[in-house]
Formats: sequence, structure tokens, C-alpha cells
Amino acid sequence: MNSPATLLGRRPEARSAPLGTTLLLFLLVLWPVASSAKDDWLPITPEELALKDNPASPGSSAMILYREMHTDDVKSFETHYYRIKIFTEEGKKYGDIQVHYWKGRGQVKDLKARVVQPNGTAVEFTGVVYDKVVAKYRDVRYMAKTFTLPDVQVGGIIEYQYRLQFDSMRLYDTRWTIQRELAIRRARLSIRPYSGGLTSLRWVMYHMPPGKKLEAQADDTYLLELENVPAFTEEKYMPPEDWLKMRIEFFYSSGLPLGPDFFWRRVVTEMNEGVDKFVDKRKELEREVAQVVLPGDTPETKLRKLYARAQQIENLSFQRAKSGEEEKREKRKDNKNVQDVLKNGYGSGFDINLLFLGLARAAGLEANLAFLSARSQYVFSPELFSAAQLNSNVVAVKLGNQTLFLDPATRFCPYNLLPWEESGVKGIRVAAEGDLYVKSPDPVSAGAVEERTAALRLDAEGNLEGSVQVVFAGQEALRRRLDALDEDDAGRKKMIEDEVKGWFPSAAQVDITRVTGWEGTEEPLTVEFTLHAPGFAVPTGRRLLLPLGIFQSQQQHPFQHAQRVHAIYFRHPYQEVDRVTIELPEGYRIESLPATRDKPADLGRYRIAAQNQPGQVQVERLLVISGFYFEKAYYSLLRSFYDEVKKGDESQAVLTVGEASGAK
Amino acid sequence: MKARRCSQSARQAAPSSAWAALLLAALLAPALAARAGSPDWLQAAARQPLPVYPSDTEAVMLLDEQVTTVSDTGEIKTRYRRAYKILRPEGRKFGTVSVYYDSETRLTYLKGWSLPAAGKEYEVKEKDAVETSPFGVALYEDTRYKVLLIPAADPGNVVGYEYEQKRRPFVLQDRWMFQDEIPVRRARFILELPQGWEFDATWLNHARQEPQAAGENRWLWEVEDIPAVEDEPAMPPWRAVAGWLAVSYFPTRPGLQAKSHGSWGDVGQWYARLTAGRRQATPEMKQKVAELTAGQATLLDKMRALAAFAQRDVRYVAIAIGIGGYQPHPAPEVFSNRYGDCKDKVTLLGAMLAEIGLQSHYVLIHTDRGQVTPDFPSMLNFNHAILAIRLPADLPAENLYAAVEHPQLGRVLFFDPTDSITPPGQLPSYLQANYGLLVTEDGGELVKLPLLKPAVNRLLRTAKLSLSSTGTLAGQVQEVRWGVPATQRRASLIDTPAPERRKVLENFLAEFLPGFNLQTVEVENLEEYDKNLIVRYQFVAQSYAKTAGDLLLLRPRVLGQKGDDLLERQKKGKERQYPVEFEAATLQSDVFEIELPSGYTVDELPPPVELDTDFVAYKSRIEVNGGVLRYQREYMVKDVRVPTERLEELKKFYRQVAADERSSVVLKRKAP
Repeated sequence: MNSPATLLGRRPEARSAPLGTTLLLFLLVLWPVASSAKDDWLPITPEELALKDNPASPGSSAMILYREMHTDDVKSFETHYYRIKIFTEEGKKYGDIQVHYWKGRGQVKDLKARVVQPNGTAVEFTGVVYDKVVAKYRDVRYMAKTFTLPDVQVGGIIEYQYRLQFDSMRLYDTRWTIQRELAIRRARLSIRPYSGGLTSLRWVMYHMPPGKKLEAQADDTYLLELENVPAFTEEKYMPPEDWLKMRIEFFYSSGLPLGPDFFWRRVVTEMNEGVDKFVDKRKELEREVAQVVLPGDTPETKLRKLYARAQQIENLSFQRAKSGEEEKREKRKDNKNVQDVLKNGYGSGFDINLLFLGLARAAGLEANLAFLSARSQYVFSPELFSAAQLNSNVVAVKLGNQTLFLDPATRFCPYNLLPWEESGVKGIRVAAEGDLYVKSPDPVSAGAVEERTAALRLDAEGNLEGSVQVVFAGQEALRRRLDALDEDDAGRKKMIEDEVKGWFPSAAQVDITRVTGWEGTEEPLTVEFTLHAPGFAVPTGRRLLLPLGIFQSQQQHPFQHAQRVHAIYFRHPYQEVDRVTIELPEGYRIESLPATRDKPADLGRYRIAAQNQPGQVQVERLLVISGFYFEKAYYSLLRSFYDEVKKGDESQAVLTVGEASGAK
Repeated sequence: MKARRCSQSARQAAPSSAWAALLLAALLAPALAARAGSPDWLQAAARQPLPVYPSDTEAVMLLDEQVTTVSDTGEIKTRYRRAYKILRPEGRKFGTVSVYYDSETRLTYLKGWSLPAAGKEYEVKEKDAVETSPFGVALYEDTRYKVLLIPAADPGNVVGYEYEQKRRPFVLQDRWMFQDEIPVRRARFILELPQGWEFDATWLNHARQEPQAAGENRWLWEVEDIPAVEDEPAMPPWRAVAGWLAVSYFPTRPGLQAKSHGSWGDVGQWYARLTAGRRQATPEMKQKVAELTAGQATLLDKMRALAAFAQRDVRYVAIAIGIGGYQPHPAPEVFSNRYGDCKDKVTLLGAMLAEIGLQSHYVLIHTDRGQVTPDFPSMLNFNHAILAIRLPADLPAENLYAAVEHPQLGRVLFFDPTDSITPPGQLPSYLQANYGLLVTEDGGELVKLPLLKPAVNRLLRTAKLSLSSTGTLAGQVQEVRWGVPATQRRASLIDTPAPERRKVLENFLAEFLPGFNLQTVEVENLEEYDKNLIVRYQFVAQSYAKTAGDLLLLRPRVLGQKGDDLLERQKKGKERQYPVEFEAATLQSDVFEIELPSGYTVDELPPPVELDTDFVAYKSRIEVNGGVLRYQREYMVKDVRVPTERLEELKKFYRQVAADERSSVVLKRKAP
């Protein structure tokens, strides 16, 4: 979907990095003024030379002993200074350095480096600095100054510094991401704001140690000094990195000390004008509404019908990227208003949401656009005056006492379900009056259900076969439909077959017999397949051991580690419901069935129960995870919950040769 | 693997940073593409009737044409034409063209077209391409790529491109790779040589075909309907299975003859000349040698000390510019910088070894076993350099598994200083049973490096555990590794930041234990690479054994998996085409003693298993004595290659192993 126009550009940090790090899109440039980087190296203390390890994290490969960065928005440059202590062989890799920059928009100047040996001998770097083309297109060049330091030794120190000189006439926002892959012992970060005109520099700090703040200095700069910044570590099921890293976002705003409400109200006012202009085709919309809804329809029925109508528009946001020439040949005109959208029958996702907004209003419903921060990347901070963080939009419709958040602009998204990244997030409501801030409803487990029903037979060798139906509903269907958007029939079938096959031991054969609902929205995605799983139950001689978790034999415990650093984050809550009937092999009876496990917990529920029926065993399994974000304090609880799940799924029915009898 | 793999000739590899280029291209896409007429060759290729392909075929290469014109000065001009019909959405990738150039190779022409099934054609030119550098192991290379996106590369459409390169190669040889990951309808190679020049053509993985005369000093080879080479798990490398034609050119001008290689001796001579004088020791180097070997009692110890220096104190950094892709930096420069790539490390170590009286030779090799083709003597085969160290006959053999007897050179030890973990005497798995060019002063010869015996690549896992009546399993485990298993585990531990290393073991245990608590972990000899790697740990796993009425069901295998599902992952409906290639021969044993809970008796025990084939063997046995269950098993990989015709046997073997690994002991509560 489209996003509102960025009011101020963003300048992601310029940085040096070891090889292989990602592209940085730093787009800042101000006006050129010469400035010099440091002429001298800062003195190295004997204690720094003697340091053998990172005391806060023993065994680290290296550590930034000192990091200095200065951003100068008056003379439009940044200076960087790194002092890195090498603790292990692995840490020597930090002797390979790249400094990225956009050629023609900035320059890397005053690049200096040196190596300090463990005995304190310093050797200046005099080697070759290569100018590496990262990517070049016509006159645009993204480059990297690349060099490697000689004789880097364990116990030694490497130092380098450089200045990034920008040359543009514009002010951009700045982000300092302080936390990186190496821990920082001491950092000194400063910024000198541009002071002309009617703007002033503001900032928002994230995950900063208590009491730490930018202090105004006599030379018109602001200074932040930090100690012992831990390295950033990655974990499975953690929130997006932007939620977690210690960082500061700087931005310029009006020189007046106005609060977030004022800023966002002004943004909303501007947006609202644009929205109204696009939607203001009342007659055409009313005519369309009259064709879609019946006079006797309830408001909700009307809304559902209008939602479905909006989704009939060809959604250009979900088509593959096309070249300019391809687009030109398609001769598609831009939609200037909702009338164009209706007439042309196509539009961007944003156009579709605006059409839906207009239709809802024309049907007499109170509806507004809302811009949200999709939680795949950001959390909305009202204190950060940047509309760029609002990268998603939905339509909020009042229905009785309820406000529904709807997004027909997402292909295949059913009525009253938001794509996971738009659920449970904050944003702003685009309306001339009323509430300024909104929060979309939290996702619920009933909105993502995977239901499996199987009728299977077991033979005396332990082979399991039969038919299975899987119904994916809500988020589960939406995700698969979007993943398969660009696939043909063969690709879709393979996608599903690979997924389903992954539930069983690798020797199992899965034959997809039917899939329905690929192009649907409201209905679930349904898959039917036959299964032949050789040796699924384990023969012991007189007995067969049959695991109850038919679909879970290959599933890994999601939380294997005892220690946890970050909060736990799922995309959305979910439910798994399995109902399995297994015919017993001729001549076998159930000797023992595991007791029913039922573990209700605040965070969800797990239940698995097996019943002995004549000639067969029935297994019912339910797994519900009720939340999508859990503080780190809940980790051990969550881990032990999944321990229970694993134990229950691995529990075994014991079948034995002999006459039928009741389970023990 | 910890080992850095060095690429001397990565010039034809796709840039790993293509995503970066494509990102930029995507951002700027509206500027691309213009209308124009497509060339006749492309239209003709698009018109030809096609056979019926399997429904999962992504695209078909309609034409792959390579026209190579060699000038009398040794300059080679090659024009490439390729046409694809996109059959499925996955085939859109064939609309992305990536062409390299460098200081020796100029890109003189590049154009692409799209012929939609309906509608007008598209044309894109070189100016529309995004330029990028390769982002592999090298810090810097002079190679660049032009990446061109052809519009409308959609199912049903035909795309094509043409480009021309002019180069002054270091060696007068070429490769025509006519088989692809998709079916090829027609492939053609045309060669034009100056008057008097000769050539030698070798077919690899394809029946030999004589060329057709296509004019004076002009020859043509053409093949049709070449099937796709599809990925299969553990298959040999691409070049070992795909069809290609290798061509060597033999000029008349004496000045060019050194670039012409007709035998392995020629290739060796060329490399010997290229490296001549690069292994001179400076006084500083001599002093370092003295320092490193001081106190080392034997020649072998001295050699090990120098080898360790090259492995660990010389950082792997590759800078490849021009001939620098092949030619090492002089040893003093590498010594002073304390960095270099594989051939630099070999050069420096060779120079240092000479100071203690050990002569050594370059060995050129490829890091994928099977890539080097004995039938095609060429530098183009290699991407890595190691060292062959000549050992005195009276030197004790002491763990020198990678040593072989050479008829002329005597005992020779192969050693890879780029692999920072594998000590002298061992050999990284990717080099074992692999062909390398042993370079000597007067030439060279292709030699096969040894395949180390299973017992050299050993894992012994022993455990003393106790089982409670509730199914909780607890106790301690010791894993002793040497050879390849030690290298692998060391690499996984060393590559993980020390504070995170416990997680490596937790990940391993999680594969076998439902809910566990890893209580202690102790690693011995992690950075002493010439010693056994020993890992000891203790764990408690609740509900490991399953309770079922008065039964307790215990899987005695507990930890480790020897079964392999590589032959179960075959694409549905497709016969396996290629042999299985194991990483290394290995011998792995488990000995677990489990104290059983009192009050239980053994009701059923899985029978012993003994499986033996020419390639792999497995046996397991359970005994119960005095309330202690002893589970013993042994798994051996004897050979690294299993031919296609024996794969059913291997599949059956692994199914039986998997069944044994799932088997359980049934314990029954004693009657009160």
C-alpha cells in the first residue's frame, strides 16, 4: 500500500562495517564546507592494551573500546572514530573495513587507520584503499572505500577514522543506531544542529540506559556519552530489530516548542485534504452503493458488500514490478479520484482503500482513513515527528458501538481481519476532528486457525496411510495465498505439498488430491491429500508404539535455549486443531493410551486426548497461543508450555496383539 | 567449515551482491526499456517447435550459441547469444542477464530483447544495466558485472540477449558449457582460429562429436535437446555431471606458446614460471622462523609450528587484480602484511619451511571434489592452492595421514594453510580423494590426494545415564572427536561468539530430547587443533521415556542421528540421476549405559541390527545386565562416492538405520 508523503527525508547512518554487511541508503547532502577530521590519534591507555576480554561478555571476539561520532548539520559532514580491541583469531576480521558512500553526493575524506600491537607499537596504515563499486546505474554510484589493515594481532588494537562530507542543500533526518554486533566500552556521540531558519533539532531516544541524555554544550553541539553498550544479539522469535536496538532518531521541526499532538494534527489536516479531494465524488459513489447494497441491508451487510466491491478492483500493488516501458504500453492512467478507480477498474492498494472509504461514507457510515506503523518494522512513536513511520493504511468504520479496522487493499484479506502486521498497532486517524490517535485491534487466535482432519489406517508393520483434510482459515489462509501470489498451479501445488510433506518423516509420501480457495477471500483454503507414512508406528515385537502427534513428529521445539535476551514475538496468535481417527491393524488392540493432557495457561492452551473406540483410536489435539508479544519475563513459562506440547505430541499409544479391550 | 576457500577464477560466477544491483535497478526501473526490432536469430529461435517438457519445467533454453574468434595475437573475441522461452513464473529469473568484465576482458556489446506472446517487443541495452562487483571471499577484485533486466520475462514469452567479450587470456583455453539447469533445445559452438593454429577438443560428460567444417579454419559443434541437470541432494559438483566441451588452442607464434597447455606438465610449467622467485625469505622471515622453531625438538614439531603460524597468524584476505588471481604475492609481502589468500599463505609457508630444510611444492586444486577433470589439463580447473611438503624418509610417520609416497619426490604431505583448523597430517574433507596439480620446477603432474580412512575421522560418544520411573533421563555424555568430525564441531563452536556457544549444544540436544535442561558444558582442546576435541555435558530430560499404563517406553539411541534422508528428498516422479557424494569417510560410535528404574523389568528389546554394504556399514546392539541397559552402535562411511546404480541399496540401508533409531525398549512395572 502507499504511504503518506514523507515530510522530511531520512538519513540512515553512514557507517563502516565488516565485509558483507548490508547496503545503506544514506541520502543526505547539505552544502559543502570544508572541515577536517581528527589530526591525531587519541592516546591508548596501558589498561586498554592489557585488556584480554570483554568483562561483561567473556569470550567475545573483539570489542569497540571507543567510538566517537559527530554529526555536523551546519557544515554537513560526519566524523567517525573507531578503536577496536581484538581478543581472538575470529576478531581479526575487523581489520577488513568498508566505508560506504554515494559518489557524487558525498565523499569520504581524511581516512586514516593504524594498528597498535600488543606491545604498544603503533603502525600507521599506508596501504591501498580500493574504491569498490557496490552498485552503479548510469550516474548514480554506491561505492565502498575498502581496505585491510596489515599485521592485525590478537591482543592488538585497530583504529580508524574518516569524515563523510556531504554536499547538498537539504536537511534530512538522522538516525544513530548505537547497538551493533560488537559491544562498545565507551562512546562519545555528538551532533551540531543546523540553526538557521525556523527549524530546531529534536530527537527521540530508544532503549537508552536510565539517566542518559544528550547534553547541550557551549559550542552549540549536543553530546551523549555512553559506557558498556552491549552487543546486539539475534534470537528466534524476537521482535524486529528496530524495536530493540539502542538508538536515537533526530529530526527537524518548527522552532516552536510544540508537542506531538500539534504536529500530528497538522499532518492529519494535510492528509485529510488530500483524502477528501480523492473521495469527494458523492453522486458517483452513491450510485455505486445503490448497485451494490439493498435498501433493507443491515449496516454490517452493507459494509461487507462494499468491502467485497472494493476488492473487485484490480489491485496493482500486488502485481510484479514492471519496467517503465511496460507500464507505458499498458496505457493506464493514474486515478485522480474514486470515480476514476471505479471507471478504470484498477488502482493501487491505497486507491482501493480510498474507494472503500468513499463507498462506506456514501452508504451513510462513519468512516475514516487511518495510517499505521506496520509492526513488521516499526512501532509508532508520536514523539518522533516523521510521517515516514506510518507505512500502512486501513479504513476505520464505526458500526454501532464498534469501530472496525478494514483493509480491502490487501489482496485476499477477508472482511474484519487485518494483515498481521497491521493488527495491534498504533497510528493516526485522518479526520478533521475527533480522536487523533488510533490503535488497531489486537489479533486473536481465532483469526488464524489450522484445522486438520484425518482418517487413517495403521498396519502391523507400523505403516500409516489414509486421507487428510486441512483447512487454513484467517491469517493462515491469507499468508499462503499471498506467498503463492506469483505461482502457477504447479507452483502452488508444490508449495503446499512441500509444506505438508514437512510434517511427516521424510520417507512419507504425500499426494495432494485437491486444493480449493486459492483465489478466495472469505472462505478458507482447503487442502486434501493422501498419506502413506512407512514405519510411522514403531514395532517392538509384540507391540506397536504410535505417537499421538501425527502432524508434529518433525516439529522442533521453538525455544531450545535456557537463556533469553529479548522479548518473544510471534506474528499473530494462532490455533491448531487436529482430529484424527486411526484404524488399528487386524488382530491388534489398545494396551495403553496416554492420559489426556490439558494445559490451560494465560498464554494459551494445549490439550491432547486419545480415545479407544472399537477397532480404532481417536486423537484430538488443540494448541492455542493467545498472544503475539510476550515480555522476556514470560520466557521460561512459554518454554515450559512448549515442553508440555512436545511431550504430549510425543506421547505414545501402545497397541498389542490380542483381543480388543478397553484402554487402561 | 572454518576453512576459507580461495577463488582464483571466480570470473564467471554470478555476483552474490546481485540483490544489491537489482534493488537499485528496481528503484530505477521506469527508465528502462525501449521498443525496437529483435534480431532474426532470436525470432527464429522463438518460432521453432518444441517438444513437450515436464510440467515443472521453468523455462527452456531455445538457443545457446557461442562464437569464438581467436586472433593471431592471442586475443579472443566471443559472441554469446541466448534465447529462452519462459514456461512458468519461476522462469522469470532467466530475464536477468549477468555478464562479467575485468582488466583482461572487455565487454564490447550487450543487448537484450523480449518477445511477448502478444504485443510488441522490448529491447534493453548496455546503458540500462546496473554495474556491480562480486561480493565473495575477496576483499577486492577487479571483476565487475553488468546486470541487465529484460522486461516482460513472463510465462509464455521469449527473452534473449547477446553480448560480446574481448579478452587477452592468460591461457589459451575455453569451455563451452552447453548443459543447463533447464532443458536446452539447441546449443552451438563455433570456433574460428588463425591460419596455422590447431586445437584440441575434449568432451566431458557427453558423447564425443566431431566438428563440422564451417569455413576456412572455422568449425562448428551443435547439440540438441539436452536435458536439464536438476539439483539432487549430495550430488557431485555441476562440472562433474553436466556436459561441456573443453578446447585448447595451439598457436604458431612462439611468443604465445607458453600460454598454450596441452598437458598437465605444461600447466605446471606455466605456474612454476608464474611463481618463480616468490618464495625468497628475508632476514625478518628467517628470524621469525628461528623464533617459532626455537625449542621445538623435532623437524616435525618445527614444521607444525610454522604451519600453525601460516594458518592462524596470517589472516585470510584476498585481493585479486589481473594476474593476481593466479599469481601469489611475494612471501616477504605476505609476511609483512600478515594477510593473504590461499596461494599467498602457501607461498609464505613454503618459504619458511625451506628455512628448516623442508622443500615444498604448490598444489593447485578445486575446493569441490570432482570439479577437476583429468582429461582436460587446464588452469581453469582450479580455485585453490595448497602445499605438498616433502618429508625426509626417516621422519616418523606420527599421525601424518595426509602423506603419500611419490615415486620421484618421496614422502609428500599435503597441507592446506588456508584451513585454519585442520592441522598438518589431517586433510580437509573437500580435498580428500580430489585431484590436484602438483607443481614442480620442471612441470607438474595431476595427483589424486588420499582419502583418509574412516578411523581417522572419528566420533566416539559415550554416556552414563539413569532413567527414573517417571521417564526422566539424566546423566553425562562425553564426545571425543578427531579428524573431520572434530573440524566440523570446532568450526561450529569457533564461529559462534563464545557467550553463545552453549546454544550450539542446546540446538543439538533439542533434536532428540523433548524438554531438557543442559546443566553443564565443558569443552576441551577447542583451539588445540592437533588434539582430540572433547565435549562433556550433563543434562536432565523430563519425560524422555514415555509412560503408558504399567509400561515405560525408552528409545535407547538417545542422541545422534546416523540415518540420512538424502535419498528420500528426491523430486516426486523423478529418478535420481547422479551418484551420492559423501563429505568424508568416517567411523562413529555410541556407547550409552542407562541405569533402569528399580521396579521395572525389560519386557521387549529391539533386536540387534547389522548392515554392511561396500560404502556404509551400521550395527547396533542392546544388552541388559544388572539393571543397566547398554546400547552400542557403530556407523561407518567407507567410501565417499556411491554410484547411481547402487543407490537403491543405500536407500534401503538408511531406512533400516532410521527404523533402528526409532526403536524402543519396553519396560514393564514388576507386579507388587
